[in-house]
Formats: sequence, C-alpha cells, structure tokens
Amino acid sequence: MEYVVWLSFLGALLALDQAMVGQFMISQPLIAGALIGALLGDLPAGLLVGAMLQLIWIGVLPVGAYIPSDHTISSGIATALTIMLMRQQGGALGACLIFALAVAIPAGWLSGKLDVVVRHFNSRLARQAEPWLNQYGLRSIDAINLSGLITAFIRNFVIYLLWLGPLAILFGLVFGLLPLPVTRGLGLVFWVLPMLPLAILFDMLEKNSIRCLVVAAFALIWVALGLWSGQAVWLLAATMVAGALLAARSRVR
Amino acid sequence: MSAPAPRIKTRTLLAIIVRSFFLQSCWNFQGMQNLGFGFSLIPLVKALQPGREAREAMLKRHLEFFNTHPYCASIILGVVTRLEAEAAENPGQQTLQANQVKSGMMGPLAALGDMVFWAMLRPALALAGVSFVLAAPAGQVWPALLGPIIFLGLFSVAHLGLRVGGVLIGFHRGIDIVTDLRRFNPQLLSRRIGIFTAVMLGALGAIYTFQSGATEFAGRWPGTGILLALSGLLFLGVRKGFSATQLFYGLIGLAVAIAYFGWI
Repeated sequence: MEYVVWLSFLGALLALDQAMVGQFMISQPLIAGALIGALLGDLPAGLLVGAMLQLIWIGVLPVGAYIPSDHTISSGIATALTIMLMRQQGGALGACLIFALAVAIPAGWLSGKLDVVVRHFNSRLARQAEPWLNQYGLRSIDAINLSGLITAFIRNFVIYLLWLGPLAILFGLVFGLLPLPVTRGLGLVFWVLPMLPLAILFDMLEKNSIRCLVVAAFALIWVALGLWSGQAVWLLAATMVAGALLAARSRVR
Repeated sequence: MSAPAPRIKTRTLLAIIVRSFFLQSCWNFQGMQNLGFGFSLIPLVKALQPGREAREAMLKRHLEFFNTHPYCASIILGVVTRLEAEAAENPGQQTLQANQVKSGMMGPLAALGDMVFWAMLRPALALAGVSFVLAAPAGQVWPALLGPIIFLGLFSVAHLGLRVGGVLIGFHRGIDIVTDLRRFNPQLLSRRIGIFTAVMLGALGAIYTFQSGATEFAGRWPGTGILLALSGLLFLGVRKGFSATQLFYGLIGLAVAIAYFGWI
C-alpha cells in the first residue's frame, strides 16, 4: 500500500505540469509512462504503454478556456495499472494495457469535472486578490497564486489514490474473471491501436499534397524495411532527418 | 532601431522568467491568468517602486483580465517590463500604455501559440518520439529511450527558448516587437511542420504495419492490408466527428465480438 501512496504522490505532482506549472511536457504520456515504468521497475513496459497512450490523444488540443478530459491522469493511472495487472494477474501486456486504459479514462473525465470546481474556487480567490493585497501586501498574491497549485495537487492525488488503491483491487478481480475471448479481443485492440492516431493525424493534415507525402513515405519505408528489416531504428532516424530537410526546403506558394 | 532599454537588473529579469512558469497556477474563470501575470511581475514591482502603496497600485493594474498562450506570455511580460520601467523613469507617461499593449497582444499571441505549439509542434514531435519506441527491437531499452529523449529534447528547445528568450527579447525590443511579429510567417511554419508530420506519419505506419502485420496477423502483406483497411475505417469515423475515446471503446467492442465469434 505504501508504494501506491508514493505513486499517487508522484503522479499528482507530474499531472501539475499539464497546465498549472511549467508545461515542460513531462506529464505527456510518453514521458510520464517512462517515469512511472522506471519507478515500478519495468521501464520497457512503461515506455510502450506511454507511447500507445501518447498516440491515442495526439490530436487533442487544450485551446483557450476549453477543459478537456484529463488525459494526463488517465495515462498515468493506466501505466501504473498495466504494470500492476501484469504482475498480479500474469496477463499479457496488450490485454492489460487496453483494460487498464478502459478503466482509467473515467478517472480523466472525473478530473476534468473536478478541474471546473477547482477553477471556480480559484475565481473566489481571485475576487479576494485586491482586498488582500491592500491588507497583507504583495505576499498575498504569492500566496493566492500558489494556493491554486495545492488544490490542484489534492484533486490529482485523491483521484490517483482512489484508482490505484481500492479500485485497483476491484479491477484486478474483474480482469482475472474476464473470459478468454474478451482478453483476446483486448489484445487485438492493442495491436491495431496505432492505426487510430494515423487516422486522426491524417485528418488533421490540411492539404492533399501533404497527405500524398504520407503515402509516399509509407511506401518508401515499407520497401526499405523489406531490404533492411532489422534496421528499423536507423531507417526511422534517417527518415526524420530527411523529413526535417524536406520541410526546411519548402516554401509557401 | 528601438531606443536603448531602461536599466533593469538581470536578476529581476531572471526572477520574472522563473515566475512565468507559474502563470497558470491559479487559473480562474474570472480573470483567467491574471493572478499568474501579477505573480510574475512582482520582482519588477519591487525593483521599480520603493513604497508599499505605489507597489500595490502598480500590481493592481496588472491584476486585470489576462489570457494568452502560456509560452507566448513571456513576450508580453518582457514588453510590459520595458514599458513599466520606462514609465518609472519618466513618471506619468506610459502606465496606461502597458495595459493597452498587454490586452492588444494577448489575443493574437494566444492564437499563434495554440497553432504552433499545441496543434503542430507537439503532435509532430510526439509522433517522432513514439515512432522510436515502437520501432525499437523487443527487449532493447536504449533505442526505445530515444523516443522520450527526442520528444522532450526538441520540444524543450522551442519551449524554453521562447520562455526565456521571449522575456529578454520583449524587454529589449519593447513595443517594436509587434513589428517583428508581423514579419513572422505562420503559413510557412505550418507547411513545414505539416511536411515533417506527414513524413513521420508515413514512416510510423510503414514500420508498425511491417512489424505487426508479420507477427500478429496472417502475414506481412495481408496484415498490412488489414491494418490499412482498419485505418481507413477509423479515418471515416474521425470525419464523422467521433472522438478518439469513442473510437477506442468502439474498437474494444468490435475486437471482443471478433474474438467471441472466433473470427481470429
């Protein structure tokens, strides 16, 4: 139980990066997954889970005052739950990840709803800013601004603790009772999941000429992999450099 | 050529930069980032105003409504620092202008920041990072670790460059930065990042279908075909307005049904 508290503490701190402090991107699933995986002693699983989760929400934009479902919380909880389920239930990574994500998405939804409550609370503090500034001086603004962090941290911590504590026990029991076709289906989703962001990003690309580039790069790399099948990482690095050079040479007509 | 910048200690500018990372700590529906903006300017207020009443009056002016992209706010902080410093050197001249400039710049910079960072740069670099994790051979951690390193490293160059450089350049250029920003061509940047994203998207698709098609499905060619057909279906779903979460749960339902009826 002690590691659940520590994990919740770390997850709640990481989640502050999403909007409240810094926005360094350490709360992004790719980074948070690696960190949580390393903390739980399974870095490869953390990396893979983080990468999959990063892909799912790659097209979500936190624009303006819009408060989306909290994907940072969902991803952090899903990463931890995946590794916990793999250890406790001996399940395959794919099925564990998809199950963990399916049960972690409501945590992000709850966090988004609570975020609205926290921001209304912040509005009440904001209304007190000027009177407190008159009464207590500049330090009152320091205190009010940083108090927003405390309320957000408490919200994150409670959600993490709930999902990784009592609910994790329930999820473990449910996962253990799942019939074989369901776990096979979950495993199948894991393997087809990267096709989802492909579709989302393809839709986000505005011009057909740029979409043609996707097809060309796909065909070229697919053929190249046939020739050098064990060199995927090098091929990818070369593609990244080529993509950057091609982008740098382009002009707006 | 802009006029020489007023004298402000480097320590003060650094303190503003560090505090700007807390711009959204108390984001609220009333003033949005107003408290964070005031919080960021406290070192300047202390540097420019000796008395308590003058300090409070100056800070109150900056507790008005403020909302922009959190990274681009650093440019506004730099410009406001300059205007307030000039106003302090020449009392009675420019205090109103600082707030006018602030409210005039926040809208365009919010749109620019949302487009460059959230809609383009983050998805493009995340895609590159994820591709390395998925391309890494099973059991090899170091090639996979390149993914987060590339994502965080390249994003931080742009993000921290703007956070630190924005305050410094905004301070040195003052109001002239508006002219500099007009020269910035968002269409060109959009096209360039779009091309990079397209190339990485094609590469990820190829690597994933090549590897998974062979190992998880009926063979390389049929596997790639199945995955691409599914991608096409999902594309139609995206076009119909379904969210990623809805499509994810839909995929679970479909896959469980396929497994239940023994089609795989």
